[in-house]
Amino acid sequence: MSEIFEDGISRRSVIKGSIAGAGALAVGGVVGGATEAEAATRAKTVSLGSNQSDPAAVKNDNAWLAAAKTAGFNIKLNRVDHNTFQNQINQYLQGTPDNVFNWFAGYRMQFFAAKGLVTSINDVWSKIGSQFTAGYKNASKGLDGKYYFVPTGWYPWAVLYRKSVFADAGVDASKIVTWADFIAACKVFQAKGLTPIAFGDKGGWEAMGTFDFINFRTNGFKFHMDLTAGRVKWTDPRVQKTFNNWKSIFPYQSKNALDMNWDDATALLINKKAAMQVMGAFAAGNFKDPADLADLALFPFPQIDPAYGREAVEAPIDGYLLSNSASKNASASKALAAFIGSTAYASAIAAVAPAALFANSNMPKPTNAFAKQQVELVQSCKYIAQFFDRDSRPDFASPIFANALQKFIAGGDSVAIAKDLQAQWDALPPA
Amino acid sequence: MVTGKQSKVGARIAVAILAFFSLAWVFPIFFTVYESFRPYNDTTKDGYVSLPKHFNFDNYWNALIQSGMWRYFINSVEVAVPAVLITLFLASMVAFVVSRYSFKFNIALLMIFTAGNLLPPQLIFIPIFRLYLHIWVPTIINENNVLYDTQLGLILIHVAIQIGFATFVLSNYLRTIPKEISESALVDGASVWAHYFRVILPLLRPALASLGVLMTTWIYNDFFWAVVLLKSGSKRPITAALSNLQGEFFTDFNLLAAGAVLALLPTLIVFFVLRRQFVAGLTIGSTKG
Repeated sequence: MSEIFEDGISRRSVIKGSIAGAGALAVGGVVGGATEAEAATRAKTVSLGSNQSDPAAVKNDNAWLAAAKTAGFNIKLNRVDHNTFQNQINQYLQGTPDNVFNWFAGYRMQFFAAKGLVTSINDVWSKIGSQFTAGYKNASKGLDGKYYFVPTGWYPWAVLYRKSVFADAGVDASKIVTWADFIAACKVFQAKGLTPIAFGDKGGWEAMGTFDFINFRTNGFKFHMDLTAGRVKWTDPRVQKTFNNWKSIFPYQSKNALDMNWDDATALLINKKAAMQVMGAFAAGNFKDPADLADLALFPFPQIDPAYGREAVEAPIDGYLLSNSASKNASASKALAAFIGSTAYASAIAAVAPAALFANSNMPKPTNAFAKQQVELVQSCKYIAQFFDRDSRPDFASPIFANALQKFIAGGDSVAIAKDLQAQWDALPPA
Repeated sequence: MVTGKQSKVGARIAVAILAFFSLAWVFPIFFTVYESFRPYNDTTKDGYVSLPKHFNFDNYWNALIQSGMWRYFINSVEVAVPAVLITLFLASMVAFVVSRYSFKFNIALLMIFTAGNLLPPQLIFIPIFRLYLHIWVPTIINENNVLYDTQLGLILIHVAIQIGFATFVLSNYLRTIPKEISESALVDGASVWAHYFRVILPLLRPALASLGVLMTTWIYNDFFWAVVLLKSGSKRPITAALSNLQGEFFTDFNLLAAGAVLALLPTLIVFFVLRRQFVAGLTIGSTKG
């Protein structure tokens, strides 16, 4: 039995061990220079937790990992699919986390910083700080004012549409500024037999984008951030204003939203069965045909209350954090964090993904038309939100709020839903 | 009284109901198999419920080779095989003692082993996760020196969970075998070890085979523990690695369908090839001789 046992589980580690042993012997043979070189590599050995599981993201990952290798890093990569990584993050951080790992800016990062599960990196920021604008600097700090996060890329949310569909219907996207303009356009598309707004919320998170937009267009950015962080109650009458405004576009949204994922809704856009979709710019990845992709464009979510105009946008920032295990491997982990913050990292990705958008302000502006639109959109905005599930408590956003929105979409009473949301927020353990 | 005609109608109704339910059961699997042969672009254009334009093995090739799914099959084998062997070995020893020796804690021991089986894993995984973070293992197994995130840890948890059921089944099976065989072995002067290895184990062979088949599929199918107790993507068994085929935003459901079919195959093969052992494993020891 024990023979099979050994053979079954630790064969690989045994091989690993024997290789290491052989390596040690070899090094023992050549004393001097070789050990120094080995010490240098060991000094730059870092474990990296990656949640980049989309094929395109894997390609980007491999590009910068190759660049890091050239820069002398020995990276031990642990790639886990995005959803599992997210769902397991609590255990991951309390277990034996990798030194550096993929994460997001916003409350979702500050939450773990406040719990002491990630390492602050003020010293890294003193090196890379000049390459980032104030917006990114603020997004990288915990509630204690210390830096924790290295931002890498971002993508905005907006109203996506096909230029040809708008041209056929005689609608000018640049003229859609107010809520009334938006509804008028919806009516035109509906009269032509199209679904005006493709909308899927099977996954539960998709609708958060629409909620966020309507909420900060109706009540302002500050109210939105107070609400997501729990500083304002869900029973506040202003929340009902948001829900009521949303209801006014219900007739123009896909009726079977709860049966569709976001990409099912995007397929309606691709197939010209729907006119618009409120979605993240990443949806461009589903436009496989280059002709379709060239036809894709966006406009900012329309204004609702003129007092707030179109001053805010959702543009989640992705990047990296250092876990607690990095404190045992501090110099190498921080060196890698600095590398990730540099243009060397961004340029490696830009070489394989020309439409990618980077946080580093020293990177050249994108030339791709759709990417340009995204940059202009974000530059025209005063405030940037991270998306509901990154701005709110992790244990509130995905299980509680996602369900509440699905109930609302299914025709639930918004007053009862808001009351319920507050009750569930109050029942959460203190963060 | 039931006339011939009535029973015929009854039989027809029964067949109709059975046919309906078996179709309802089989439909999702056939649908998965069907989509797995179709390229992503076809299904985005025409929807999933449509006639195929292209029909090929591309998704299978992508899943198995490009996405490297084959490596996770090896991981599964590395966990399932030792776990099943250890479980059967230990369970057969307990079954031997509780069925051949009578002492005070005999029944209590069997009850404890069986009761442990009833605890839902969702209830015990947090304590186990914490425990695993405190159990030391040598660097050769895990460079973090804890049992968490090792295949050894996964094997041990499967052994611990499965041993209750295995003991229960094997001891019931042993009770169906006449004690006289054991008694004559003792009369011939067999020691406890000889009694176990040379009399009981050979007698248990059919039960071990059936139970082994059953447990292999159970452990192979495990998803929960693999996700909870492993952090490294590369150590995952096939069931948990299937989600590697999903992205953050983009999921190619046709590719996922192909992956699911591949992950399903070993279970199906085991079932069809070893069907008799499989069924025997489910019913073994349930009749007392």
